[in-house]
Amino acid sequence: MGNDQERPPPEESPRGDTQEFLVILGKAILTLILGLVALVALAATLCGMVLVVGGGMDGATVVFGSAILLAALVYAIVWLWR
Amino acid sequence: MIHVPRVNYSQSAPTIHALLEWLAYFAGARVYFHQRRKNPIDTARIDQLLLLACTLFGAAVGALGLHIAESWSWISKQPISHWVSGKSVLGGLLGGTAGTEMGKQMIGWSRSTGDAWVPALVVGLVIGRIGCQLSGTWDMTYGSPTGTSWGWNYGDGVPRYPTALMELIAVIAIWTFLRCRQWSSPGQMFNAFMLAYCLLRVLIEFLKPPFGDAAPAAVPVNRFEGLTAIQWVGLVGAAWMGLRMAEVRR
Repeated sequence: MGNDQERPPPEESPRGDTQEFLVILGKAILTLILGLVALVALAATLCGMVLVVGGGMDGATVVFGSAILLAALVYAIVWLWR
Repeated sequence: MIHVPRVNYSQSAPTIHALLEWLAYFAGARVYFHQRRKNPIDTARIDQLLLLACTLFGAAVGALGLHIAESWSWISKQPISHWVSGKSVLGGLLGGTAGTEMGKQMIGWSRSTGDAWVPALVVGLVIGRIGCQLSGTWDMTYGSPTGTSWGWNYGDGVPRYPTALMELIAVIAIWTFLRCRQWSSPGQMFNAFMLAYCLLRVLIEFLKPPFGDAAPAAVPVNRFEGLTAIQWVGLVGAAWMGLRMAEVRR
């Protein structure tokens, strides 16, 4: 008795939506931080390698070179991901 | 003695090394994504990105960390450009594995993701080691002096073990052996590859300085209780991979 009555579907709570949004936001921020640190480390390694061996590069060239390498890396990853 | 003609190591080494290193990254990544498409990680895109970021982060920390540890007594007194000027493949692979495991915990993923990495790692290692072999004594992967007829002249006129070439051949041999085997559980091929690679590095380091004479003006490599940092990390990595294999079998 009574068990065969269909229950109305649970209403989506705004609180649940907010929680889900915050989880996704947290993941996105973490992804950005970890990914950027890794990419900067890789670009800095390549620039540092040239700096140490070449010996004649100044700070601005290294920063500029790192930025270009970083952009190339991001582009390559996006291209590979597709 | 083997000598590559028309290669002026001192001038061309960084360029050759950098070019082949980039090619190794791109070719390896291309192979990985090709493999991954056959066996996709069916989870939300944000989780996939987080997993990739964790892997890259772990690889960067491991690669730089082991490079610094390898020559700690010298590098600790140098400017920051020297700290970031090198990487260790072994550190990168083990750091990347640790990062992936950390990422899997975060997104609640339990399935193994490693097998798709193996062909990519093989391709990357082979291309990268060609770059090391052609870079003379500059990139610190050259062997100790040898009296054998197949010693390689890295530009300093001393016949040395062609350690990068030896590693490259050994990696292809390991891959050929692993491909012929039937693997009962996902992830076991990756664990077996990493176990074999860790042991290979422990052994091959005995053919390099500081176990033999280094090239003039080379960065000194430290020994801790008789072994280099790479060898210690290789032993720890081999034990870790062995445990992972045992766990999957249970």
